[in-house]
Amino acid sequence: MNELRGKRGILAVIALLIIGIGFLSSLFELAGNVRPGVSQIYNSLAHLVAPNNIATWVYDWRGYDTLLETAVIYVGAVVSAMVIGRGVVQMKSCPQEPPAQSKPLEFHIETLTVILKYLGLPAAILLFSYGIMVVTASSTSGGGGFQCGVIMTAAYLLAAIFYGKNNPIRFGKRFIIGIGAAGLGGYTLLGLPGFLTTGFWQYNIGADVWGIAPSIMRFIFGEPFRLSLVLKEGVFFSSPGIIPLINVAEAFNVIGAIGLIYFAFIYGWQEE
Amino acid sequence: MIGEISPSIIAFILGILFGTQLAHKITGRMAALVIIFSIVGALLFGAFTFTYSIYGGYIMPGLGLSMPLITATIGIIIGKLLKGE
Repeated sequence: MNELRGKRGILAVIALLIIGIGFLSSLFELAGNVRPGVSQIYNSLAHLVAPNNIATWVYDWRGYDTLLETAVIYVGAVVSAMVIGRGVVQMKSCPQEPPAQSKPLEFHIETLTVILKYLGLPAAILLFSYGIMVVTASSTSGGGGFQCGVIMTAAYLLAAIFYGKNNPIRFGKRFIIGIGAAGLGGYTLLGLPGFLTTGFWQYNIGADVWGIAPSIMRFIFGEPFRLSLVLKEGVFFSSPGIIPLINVAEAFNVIGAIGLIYFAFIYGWQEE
Repeated sequence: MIGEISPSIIAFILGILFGTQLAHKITGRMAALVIIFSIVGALLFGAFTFTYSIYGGYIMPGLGLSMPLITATIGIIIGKLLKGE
């Protein structure tokens, strides 16, 4: 119970309470929440959300799946670094054996070709831009968070291979932990507006397929991403709602998780 | 529609965030290089689906710019400038 003391402990208890109440209340009203014949509803409303039904299902149903997925990734990264990191993760509060001494990674920048030496950093910057572009494309494609995280951390690894300890991309451990936590917390909190206004956790109040969200919430979360769909059948207007924001949170979480693995294994981790 | 410009704004903000993590000095020539490369890349990727405005990157049928790629690059450079050496 020592972990639950202090400011962080209070925050953890509050977060657990919010998630627990939301989860239990969803179970309590499970019978009322499951609507039979959901495909009929989607067939009639799909054009309000996305140009095809598959995208509609992805928009509205991916929430729980990706939330747990993203948590698994982050926990997996932390556990990987702790278990097979040869002691590179050292915590202040838990006295441990010193990390295993291994031959340090050797980087020889002078052996790089001229192209790699001078174009390595621009390539890493362009990979950053590409990753950001991928995650912002979620307005029309539904996904991109995980891919963005992988691309951004690939840029980090690329720069580490080129420049070694003088890595021009300085992801500090505070930044990596912070961005991962912000992603996971942001993802979870994006479910709260839907729960508070409609009773459905992570209901996409911006897209509002069922027409049950308050208009002000629909405006706040839906209008910034509203697009006009010019199709053969006519012109329709749709918004992916909270999906682009969820994707950004997902990207942050993946950057935090994979970045943590790279950081721990390439540079080692000493908290002191 | 405002949804056509929102991705560019988000890309710009994210660019600034990650630009602050760059530790290497970026010269003017390097900044120009990455911006030119990102414009070329934006031309290759094209405008996002269901984008019909010039600010969204749409120029003409079959020709468009992926604006978030360009704004992300500019954001990264600005983020680096904000962070300083």
